Amino acid sequence: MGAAMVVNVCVLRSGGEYGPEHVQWLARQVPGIVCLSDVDVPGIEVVPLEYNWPGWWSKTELFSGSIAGDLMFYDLDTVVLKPLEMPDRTTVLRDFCKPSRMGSGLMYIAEQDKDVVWNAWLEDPTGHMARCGRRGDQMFLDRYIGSAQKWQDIAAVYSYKEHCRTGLPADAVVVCHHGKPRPWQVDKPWIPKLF
Amino acid sequence: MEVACVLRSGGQYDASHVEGLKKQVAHYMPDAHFVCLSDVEVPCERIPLVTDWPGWFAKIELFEAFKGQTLYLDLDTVLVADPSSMMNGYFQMCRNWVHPHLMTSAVMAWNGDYSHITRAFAEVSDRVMRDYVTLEQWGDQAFIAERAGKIFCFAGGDVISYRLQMRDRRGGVRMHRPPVGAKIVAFNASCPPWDGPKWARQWW
Repeated sequence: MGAAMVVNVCVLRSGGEYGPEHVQWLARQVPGIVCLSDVDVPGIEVVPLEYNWPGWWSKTELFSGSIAGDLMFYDLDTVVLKPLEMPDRTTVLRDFCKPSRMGSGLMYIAEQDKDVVWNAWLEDPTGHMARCGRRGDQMFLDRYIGSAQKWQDIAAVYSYKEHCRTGLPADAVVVCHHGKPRPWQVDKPWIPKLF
Repeated sequence: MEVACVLRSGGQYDASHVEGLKKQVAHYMPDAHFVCLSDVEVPCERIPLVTDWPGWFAKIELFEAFKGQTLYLDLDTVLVADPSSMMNGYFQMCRNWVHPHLMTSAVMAWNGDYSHITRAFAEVSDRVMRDYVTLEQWGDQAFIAERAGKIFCFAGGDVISYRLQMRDRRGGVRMHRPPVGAKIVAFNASCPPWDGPKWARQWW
């Protein structure tokens, strides 16, 4: 019987709208989070990205095995109000706007599910990126882990735009922003300030 | 928050080592409640050990005694900053500095009832104390890691090893001061902090 190790993790690919300050903001809510990144983030343990896939495509490196154990992944624009109860299997979001699709903004990735995704991805990264286009990593991942358990069925995980415009639900554990406005563009007492 | 330590008498640690840790906690965590699980008198609040589990196996009594937000510290750890911000609400242990797939129990944190670990150990204690003597399955820490459920590791820079990270392989000094960001420095029996550099031994 071995240890069931879980690592809180996020991904930062430089050159886009996110920077080290957003990782530090998330880390104040998720102490000890590890960041897969191509840049240093002061005060944060960084595991280097090994490939140069742009933007959200870098999230596929979560499946490479470069960080051992189960992974609890948070998008950088996630508000974490309380510790999520960790599931016993891979768990993804049900897309808040199109519920037949999965969302990749909050994922529990069980160690044993990494390989099938990673091997499929490595067969043709360029082709996958071209085929998925603006639907991004979520469209690619949907084929492999889209049928996994959904966060919304096991925890009080909400969308800012769909559920929090008029107030925070009392039982909220995590709020996903999935697009604009980002958390630091909104002045709410329950959202930590960026600086 | 409760900060806990364990002293089982008869080994190389005694109440004076509890005193040193108590001073550090008072300095860096003035609002914390410092408690020692022990079978002898100590210079702080004490909860008596109730089993005869020897040495580090006595640490397994912690989970019966502490069921709120708790930070556990070995007696040979040294605080160099307030460690409160490294606790994430889950069960946390240190990653072994040499074998990162293994866990170390020098520093642990939890928030909730993990007394099932203590109860499970009580049922198999003889076998575990006899068999958990290999690298892959070593002592109390292997048993705790197996039974705690989901475990998160402290971030690599939060808890550092004096012997493995601050000294070189020949025992010379690699770092004169703990790196920025470090919160706890773990020493070990062969090189305890009260025989260590001034920033560490000042507490004893």
